[in-house]
Formats: sequence, structure tokens, C-alpha cells
Amino acid sequence: MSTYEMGLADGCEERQPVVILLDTSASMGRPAESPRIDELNDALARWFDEVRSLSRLRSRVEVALITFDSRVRAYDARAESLVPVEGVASDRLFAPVDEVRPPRLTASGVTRLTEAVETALTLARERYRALQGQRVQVRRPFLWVLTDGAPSDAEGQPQDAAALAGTARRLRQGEEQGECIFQAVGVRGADLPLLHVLAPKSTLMLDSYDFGQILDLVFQSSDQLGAVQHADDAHRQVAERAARQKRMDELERKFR
Amino acid sequence: MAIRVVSGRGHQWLLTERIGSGSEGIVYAVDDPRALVAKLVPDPPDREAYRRRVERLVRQRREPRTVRLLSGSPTRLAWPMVPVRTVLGGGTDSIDGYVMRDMRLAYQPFTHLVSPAARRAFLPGATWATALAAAEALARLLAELHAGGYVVGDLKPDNLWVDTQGRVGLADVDSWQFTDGREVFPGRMRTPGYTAPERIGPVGAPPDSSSDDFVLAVLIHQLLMSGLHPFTGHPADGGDYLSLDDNLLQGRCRAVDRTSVVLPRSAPPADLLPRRLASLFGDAFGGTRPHAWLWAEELAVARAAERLTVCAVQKLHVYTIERPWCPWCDQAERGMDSYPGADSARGAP
Ligand SMILES: [Zn+2]
Repeated sequence: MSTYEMGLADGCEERQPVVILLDTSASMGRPAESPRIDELNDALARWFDEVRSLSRLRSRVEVALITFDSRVRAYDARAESLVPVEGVASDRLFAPVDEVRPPRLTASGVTRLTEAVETALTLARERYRALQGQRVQVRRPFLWVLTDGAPSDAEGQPQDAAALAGTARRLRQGEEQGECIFQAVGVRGADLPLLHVLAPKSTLMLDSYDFGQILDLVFQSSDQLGAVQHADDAHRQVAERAARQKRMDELERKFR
Repeated sequence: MAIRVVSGRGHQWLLTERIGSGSEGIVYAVDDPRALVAKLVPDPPDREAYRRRVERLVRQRREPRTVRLLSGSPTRLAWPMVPVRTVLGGGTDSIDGYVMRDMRLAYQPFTHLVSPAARRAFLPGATWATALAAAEALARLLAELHAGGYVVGDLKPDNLWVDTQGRVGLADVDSWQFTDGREVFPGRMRTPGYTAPERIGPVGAPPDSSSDDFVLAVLIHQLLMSGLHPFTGHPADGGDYLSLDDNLLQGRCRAVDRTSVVLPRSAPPADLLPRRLASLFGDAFGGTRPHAWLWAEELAVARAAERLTVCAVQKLHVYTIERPWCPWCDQAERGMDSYPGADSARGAP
């Protein structure tokens, strides 16, 4: 086992892989005066800096970052660069959560959401099998997609529900076979009906959240995944957590 | 941000920063010269019942059973002191909660003692003797509150506090199960990895002192085994690992059957426990659960000064005299020193 692998806990704790798919298409560059992508970059930098103080997450969670615009790329945390996923061993694309110094993302291009989801599914499945093979106490990988737009095909044309059906079916299979949990998070401008096609029971519209709050939700709920539990229960828990969080945020805002 | 809350008598407090959030509630610092915090519970399943629950707990502060539990310093329980609700204009629903003592003053989060990485950072002087002391304090506290008719229900590291001496505190009293003689206030929260087998599943049993005793054994195991959860391990039959609760339900537990799981080589050795405690774990996870008071008594015996010895190599290695040589050195040789001390590079991953 490499020292890199040892970065997580002492080998006796559970391992929770988390894959985050980040929309970096052109729409994330809006509004021009304060682009959302800058907001996302700041939140990522801050969140991964602050995670060092959260000992439970540090000892359990490993993360893979995937970005999607006209291309799908993954973040190689050791090389600190975004790379094409093909040809890179999936193990290399997961890093202990406190060893990730996130990239500075830029926004351009179309929204290859389905391709990114398919990539993430494969990546998660490979990692899960590899860790089971190494007898690590790995939990089901948690997949989160964050998007502010609508999926498009390779030519940049908007996709309809029919075009998403294949990916949606593979997600459902993955969840039913206990290989992963998939959650979709829409922020301003996201095409909710299409996200619902991909994730009928696990699409959250979090347009009142800032990205830091979304990252908190992503990691806290990934970490609190219940025991012998159906994916639907996990989705319900995430939704409840999000609703509670939203209620408190509104309350705090009123008093500000 | 400053949320304003008011008590039934009209006393107002300002809540300043958010300092924690749990499964149901969110805890805020309170602007008050006394060290207080407030817990707000945004969406209890039954708002009226939750209000009554908090009111009863506040009233029970004066009952003899509770007075005893609250005696001593530092206070072991973050007992609700005053029910409060948020003050909002415009007809918005108020949120209920209560004010309690700020446990951070006297204690650190329990995980600081349990998790090896956190221990190195926050309690670098802690030894196995500290773990034994905390285990005994926890068992004693639980035995006392069971005697008072209380059931914790959702006993877990997140609700627990510990100090450098191994004294233990407990919060989230509002999630306990108790009765005021007329009404039973049920406990319903469950936490993965900290739930007795009969409470796992879609229709879990309600908690009782026996389900608390089960979780107590889990926590004591973690304390004495440097954080190792008793249901840790990859299934020895070669199947996939699913969860701690799955291991529990399938009877995969090193303390009961050493051949049921595969653990990393660097795990704390199974034979580091005094014989008597090892047999109690066997009972707790594979037989008749020992009561909290029995744990307290046996732990008191095990941690007596004449029952402990200090390693010749590393003074933070404390172990039972029943073991001929140091278990922590054994573990360190296999790649992980659970009690490395501040000046040692060993054990830092
Ligand atoms: Zn030693």
C-alpha cells in the first residue's frame, strides 16, 4: 500500500468515495459582473481548506472531481491538473478529501452532462470494486452533479428526455445493485424537468444556496449515509437535510 | 446573523454564530455572560409534543433523580434549562428549542479521544488509562440515568463530550426517552453503527436500557481499542463489505469470532484487553448484554493503578499487567502507533 493510500485514517475506518460532477459550461460564466464560476471556485478553495478541521470527514472521505462542458475531464489531485479521464487509472483520480487543492475552473462550451454522468458511473464502479478487492471497508460511492443548465449533445444541441433515458436507466441499475447513490443539484437556471428524468427521486433545486452550503450538504450527507439502506431512503434523508438547512438559512437571513 | 429567541417568561436572548448541527437540531452560541448555547429544532415530527417534551425536562431538573444526575462539576449533562422559541414578526412559524450549558467550556468532542488522528491533534497526552477512565465515566453515567428512568436512545459519539482526565459529558437530552408519569416521550432517533440489532431496519424496536447497553459496549470498545469499531472488518467469506450495521446483523465481529472478519494488519491487537473485559465484549455482542453498572465496576477494576503498566520504550504506552509485553509497540511495528506522543514521528500517517 502506498503512503498516499495511508493518508486516509489508519486503514480501520470506513471509506466513503464521493464523486462531484461540476458544470463548467459557458452559462457558468454568467452573469458577467459576478460569474457563478468564480463563486464556485471561491467556495471550492474555501471548503477544501476548511475540511482539514473536520476530523471525521478527513478520515473517511475520498473525492474525485469531474468537470463537464464540451469535454469531460477529471481532476488529478496529485498533478493538480484537469485531465481527460480516458487512460488514467480510476484509483489515481480519487484523493483523500484533505489532500485536494481544487483547481481554478473556467467556464466555456456546452453541457455534456450525460457523458459526464456515464464517466462518473464507470469511475465510481471501478474504484468501488478496487477497494473491495483490497478489503477496504468501502461504502457505496456517492455521485453528485451540480449544474445550472440543460444537457446538450456533442454538437451542442439540447437533449430531450428520450436522449437521457439510457443514462437514467444505468443510474437506476447502479443504485439498485448497491453500486452508488446519485443526487442531482440544480442551481439558478437548471433545467429541472430534465434533471428529474435523470434522478426522479433525487433532484434538489438549491438556488437559494451558495456553493459553500451546497458543498457542506454534499459531504455531510454523503458521510451520514445510512446502513442497510435502499437508495430511496438515502435520497429522502438528503432532501430532509436540505429542507432543514434551508429553513434555518432563511431564518438566519431574516435576522441579518 | 443574530436570531432572537424568547422564553415563556419573556426573557430574550440573542443567538450569535451557528456552532453545530445534528440530525434534528442546530446549536447556536448565546450572547450571555454565562456560558450558554441554544438548540433549535426546526421541524420536529410533532411540534406540540416537542414543546411538552422540553417543558417536562426543564421541570424535571428539580426532581431528586435528576438533581443527582446534575450534581458534580463539571456538569455531565447539557440538560435543557429554559424552553425558548424564535421571535419573528409577520406571522412566520416560530421554531422551538431550549437553552443549555455550553459543554465546550469543560469538554472536548468525544471523537477527540476516540479517533487516533484527532487524538494526536487535540489530546496528545491521552493514554489507554484516559480511555479506561472515560469508559468507566460513561458507563457510570449511563447506569445512573437508567436508574433514574431515562433511556438515551440515540447514544453516539456526536452526543458525547470528554475532557483530558477522561470525564464524560452528554448532550441532546431532548432526544431521550422518558416519562412524566402520564405521558411517554419516545426516543426515535437511530444512528448507523450505533444502533442495537433489534432497532435496525424499517420497523425498528423502540429504545430501552438494553439497547443503550449495547451501544455502550460499542463505545467502550472504541475507547479501549483506539477507535476501532467492534464491527470493523471485511467479511472473511470474501463477500463485499456493506456497512458496520450489516456486519453487526451478520454476526461479523472480531470480539466474538476472530475468523469472521479480516482487519488491516495495523489494527490494534485483539489481545490487548484484560481477560475479564474481553469476555464482557463477547457477552455484549454475542450473548447477554452486560448492564451499564457491571461495565462501570469492571472498568474500575481494570484501571486501578496496580492493574496498569507503562511501556519501557514509550511512556504514553499504557497497558494491562495481564499482557506480558506492550500491545501498542506491537501495533506500532505493524505500521500504526496509536499513542505516539508529541515528540514521536511514529504513527503519523
Ligand atoms: Zn510500547
